[in-house]
Amino acid sequence: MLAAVSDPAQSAPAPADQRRLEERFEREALPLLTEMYAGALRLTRNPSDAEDLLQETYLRAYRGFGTFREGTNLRAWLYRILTNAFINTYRKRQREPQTVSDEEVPEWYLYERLGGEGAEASAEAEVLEALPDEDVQEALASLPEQFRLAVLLADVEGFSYKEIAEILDVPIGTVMSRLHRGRRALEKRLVDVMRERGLVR
Amino acid sequence: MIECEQALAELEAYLDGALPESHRPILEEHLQACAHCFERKDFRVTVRAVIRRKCRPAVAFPPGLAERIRLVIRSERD
Repeated sequence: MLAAVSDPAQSAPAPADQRRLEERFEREALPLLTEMYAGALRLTRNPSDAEDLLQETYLRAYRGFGTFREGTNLRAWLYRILTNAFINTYRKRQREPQTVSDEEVPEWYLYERLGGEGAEASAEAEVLEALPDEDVQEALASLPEQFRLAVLLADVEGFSYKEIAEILDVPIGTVMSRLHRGRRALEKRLVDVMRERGLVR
Repeated sequence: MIECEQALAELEAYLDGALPESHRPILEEHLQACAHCFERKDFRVTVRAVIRRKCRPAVAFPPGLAERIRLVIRSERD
């Protein structure tokens, strides 16, 4: 198989293989459209950008489907394409600085603000629940991009460290550090919003 | 038994399902015995659940989008 790849005459799949690949794409990738659209929307936060991004993602995925190893995680593979297309298209437009502000947030900052040890767990949950969904989404969106992506992929999309490392093409240690700092930064912002809303002092 | 400091340092990886198998029972034993850490573990679980739910509102799939994507792929194929 490897020898065949290096031979230019053999590099395009035979018609029968091509048809099989197309059928598999229809059967496996297209059913994930709805879920991928929701992911694209969470990434772009704008329905029209999400549509464009999804279309771009599926076109790239279709072109590259021959490199997808059957039996591995298709959802993570599609997210990798989605995330890369997003970073290339939308981040270029915004020209965000790539450096991440170093905001040291104490490990248990949110916990302490909500009463800390001895506070009723249900009361803590109640205050968090009282936050409008939009506030939490805004707080996440306001994080530096590297942090936002790590927290979004882990805590909202539910990917593992290993999957996120592959999606973002960074080492697992980098994922863990961005995730840790991103979560604390998000908690800090949640406290800020709760203060504005008078939910905590 | 491990100390709180170590338990709390491992908590995040534990909740992420990334703590090595060999460490899990040791941490779990600590959490069962230590209210200080157990409360913090519970708190993290709650925060994660709330963030996840509030950041995943119901999404309406745009009508016609699936068909548009099928068309783009079909034109690529031909």
